[in-house]
Amino acid sequence: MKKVFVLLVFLLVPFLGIAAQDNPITIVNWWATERGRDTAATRELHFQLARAFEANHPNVQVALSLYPNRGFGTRVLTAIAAGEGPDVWYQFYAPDIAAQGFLEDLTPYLEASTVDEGWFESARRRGVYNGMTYGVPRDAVSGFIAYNMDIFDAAGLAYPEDGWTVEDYRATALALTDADAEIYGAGGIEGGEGCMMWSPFSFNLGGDLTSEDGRTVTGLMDSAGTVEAMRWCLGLVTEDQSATPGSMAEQFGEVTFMSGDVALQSLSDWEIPALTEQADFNWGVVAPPRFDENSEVVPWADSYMYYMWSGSDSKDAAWQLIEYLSGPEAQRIAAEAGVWAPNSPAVWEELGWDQDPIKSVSYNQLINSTLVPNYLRSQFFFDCVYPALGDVRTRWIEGGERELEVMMADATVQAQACLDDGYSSLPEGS
Amino acid sequence: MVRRFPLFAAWSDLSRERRKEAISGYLFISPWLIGFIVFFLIPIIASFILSFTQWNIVGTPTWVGLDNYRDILTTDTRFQKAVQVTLTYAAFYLPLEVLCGIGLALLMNQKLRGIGVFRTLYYMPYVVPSVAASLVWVWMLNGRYGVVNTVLTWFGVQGPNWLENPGYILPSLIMIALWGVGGSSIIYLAGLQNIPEVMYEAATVDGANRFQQFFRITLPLLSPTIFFQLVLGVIGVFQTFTPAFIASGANGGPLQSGLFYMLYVYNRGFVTLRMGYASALAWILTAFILVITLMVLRSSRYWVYYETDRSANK
Amino acid sequence: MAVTKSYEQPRPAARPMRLTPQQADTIEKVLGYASLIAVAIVLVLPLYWMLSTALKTPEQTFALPPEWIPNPIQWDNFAAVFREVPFGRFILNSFILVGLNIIGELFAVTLVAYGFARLRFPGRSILFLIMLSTLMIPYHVTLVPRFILFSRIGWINTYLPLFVPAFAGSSFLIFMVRQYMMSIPFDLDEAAYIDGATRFQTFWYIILPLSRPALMLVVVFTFVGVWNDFLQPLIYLNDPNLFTVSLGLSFFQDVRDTNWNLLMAGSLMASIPPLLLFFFAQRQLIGGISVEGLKG
Repeated sequence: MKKVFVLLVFLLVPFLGIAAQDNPITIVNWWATERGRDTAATRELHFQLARAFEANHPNVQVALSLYPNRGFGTRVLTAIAAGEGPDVWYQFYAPDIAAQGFLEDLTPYLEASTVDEGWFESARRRGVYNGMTYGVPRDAVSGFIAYNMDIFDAAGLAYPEDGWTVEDYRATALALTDADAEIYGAGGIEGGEGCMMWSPFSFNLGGDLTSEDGRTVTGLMDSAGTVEAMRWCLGLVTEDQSATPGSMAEQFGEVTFMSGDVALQSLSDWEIPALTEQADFNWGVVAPPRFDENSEVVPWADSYMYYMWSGSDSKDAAWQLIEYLSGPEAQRIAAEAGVWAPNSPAVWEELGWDQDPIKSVSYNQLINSTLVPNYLRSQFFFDCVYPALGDVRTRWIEGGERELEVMMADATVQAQACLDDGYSSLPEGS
Repeated sequence: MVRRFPLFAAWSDLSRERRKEAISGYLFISPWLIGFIVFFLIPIIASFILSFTQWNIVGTPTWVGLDNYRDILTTDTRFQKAVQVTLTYAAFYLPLEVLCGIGLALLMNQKLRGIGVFRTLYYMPYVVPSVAASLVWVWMLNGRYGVVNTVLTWFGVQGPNWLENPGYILPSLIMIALWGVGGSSIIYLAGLQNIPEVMYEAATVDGANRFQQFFRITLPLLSPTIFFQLVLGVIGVFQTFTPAFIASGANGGPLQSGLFYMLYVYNRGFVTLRMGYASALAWILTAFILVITLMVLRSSRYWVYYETDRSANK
Repeated sequence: MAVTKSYEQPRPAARPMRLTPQQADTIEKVLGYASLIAVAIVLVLPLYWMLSTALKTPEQTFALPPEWIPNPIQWDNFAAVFREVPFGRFILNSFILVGLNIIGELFAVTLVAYGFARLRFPGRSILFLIMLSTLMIPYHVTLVPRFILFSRIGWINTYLPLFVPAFAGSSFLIFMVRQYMMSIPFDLDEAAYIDGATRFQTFWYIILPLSRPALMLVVVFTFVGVWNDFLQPLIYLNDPNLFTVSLGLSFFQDVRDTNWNLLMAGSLMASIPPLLLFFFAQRQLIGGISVEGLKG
């Protein structure tokens, strides 16, 4: 059997040990904690869920470890390399680990189970890569825009409404920016490469980064639409100076909206718990802006996923845990704790969230979501595309370069070469 | 007392007594010998073989011949970046290290009351753990809240976003490293104190001024120490990891401007689990360091002044 | 060479002296102290800033312009570090590793250095040369294969990879102690042998006590090296309860990367043990370096 792991708990929860009785199977479960998203309630929920699971499955024990999100992937990989991988873990990204053959294909388990029947389509699709289902959704979230009512009131401006466009967003952000008072119209993330990746703007700026199979950026990243999209994002920082400066993240993390000095910021359900707990100002949310008068909003939706290590010694027990956590009971517990948004519409409706003034904004996005976020489309995305786009941002903001077509063309060539190199290094057939 | 030994003297030539001594000798050095074989020789051979394979540590390695080396040397732009970053850093840091190290040592060598306190203060940064040292500098170099930029504004200078601006990452890292220059100053100081006082006295009598004394006595007599420090410095520079990892992240920060070679090896090996590729990278670096070290060693005869030279000149 | 030249061409002291020797002496002293103090300020500033930030409230930490003196002084930050992460464990772990490494190095370094310094055996010079050459080969060549080796024998996420190699001795320390032992007169050994002492007794009762200053250096270097090591714990340890102080600090940075006051409190606490060690050992350290520095 697997080497017995000490159950370890850090941060707010004191050290706990579970005495081994009847040699129960121990599932090692790693959780990535993320600043700006996780609160004390999140941590409490982790243990609550594990205990609820153990109550249902007396033969299985769950050994929990919480790790910071940064470097989490590397930690999992080195543990796997050493033959000490966690049986189950979750994070927002794993195609690279899946492609290495380190993730169990969960398709057979799902076929034998009914757990996935009620899931949002976006959440189900998210765990599919190269034809295998490597992950199961912990939750389902979508992106929207949060606004600071106090700032709008002070400026005498009406709150944003459904059906607005990205140009409205930009104009509103600019109008509300007051550099002397250190009031910013837009949050910091919009000014970065995240604007085109993990924000509701991703698909509403008239361009995309990678093809659906994740292998191609040529013709997409360097298209006129994407160049203009990028110009829009970066312009918030430099031309408009309406986005919060990068250094503000030093104090507030990515969610500079939390400072109370930011009028608009793209957020997702992930940030709602921290916002609810910490914000000392009045805020509301609105659907993301659409590209222009003639288009519809294209939702951006995402989930954290549970993964199973293909080298796990107790896959059945690991699956039981995953099945439980992604099933209705755990989903309800998490939702009622106010921590995660459920992965199935039924639970949203059961809780009346589809009618809730705040949650319904997200709900309407989720049920209409059709596109997979571009960073999930390739195992080489973070190796190739992300740094290339980051370079463009650095050259624009820190270097003051303004030849965006040229920079995007450079980045595209660089990213494509990297992708080609990555895919060509794979063994045949994968 | 001279106790020379012919290399590999035949065992049979040894007297009984000498054989006993030899056996004890081997026993005494056996901890190192065993460790050398297990922790050094075998890994290094394994690393060499691995460098011709593609392997993600799980499963069996695939033999790819020279592919890794070819890819690294021809198409790998991040390798080029890593080499460029590391060499640029070395080119600026090493001379500065020698200069500041000697400068500080000269300050510490003054015969003034309370000099011990200053020596302690100067050496202190060197023993601060590099993670802690890097962290405090990251904080001090913050573009908005950092104290470095605050001090610069006193002189009317608007400081940059040090660690976010690709052009300032290396200067930042050089600054962080120079903070610990007290470590090498102590060694220069030891070198200075070993220069006989009479030489300066004689020079003063001969009317040599301070500068002449420095360039004609101090520097030549310090050259063996400089040489020693330079050799250590070269090896150290190529092993730089922690400050870069803390200050610019595992990917080297904006435009990979802080992508030190060692960071790249770590990335390939432990972030993307390309063990064969990482081994090849490590071997290329080793070959490079050996060449550089040999060059420094070779060059030493032209500028390092040894005591024996002095006696020969008399 | 250069030095002899200045002897050959003596120049008369031609510059007119306007200052009396006392005045010149005073000016020199003032300049000396001024430069010493200026440099000291620059070098101590980061440590001061670490301390000052460590004692600030979050609001003060991000005050603009930065405040030099914390007000009020927030002593609780130090306690907060222990609440946020198992910092006490980190410190304890580091001490355990430091202890094990010191035992290992002392064991191996003394034996091996003695063997190289005072016993004759075929192949000694070539083995010594090999040992020296390992100093030239950067450790990262062995990083990957060592990781593989240790993972195969189940050593990952244990302290074994972090202290067992110490029992083979570090080449640098062996070299240092060997040089020191070489300077002890060989007559002492001969006398001991005549009195019927074995080689081990000679080593144990004669050479070892005389090498104490060099062994102090072994202790200090090992302490600082292990305490400050970051890369190896980073690679070998997964369980936060096993983390060392350096790794724990970086871990803390990942968890709380905006709480600079707490990060600085942690950094300060991580710096105190090596700083204290340095204060107490500085005489040996500086003396020892002056012995070793020139031998390089």
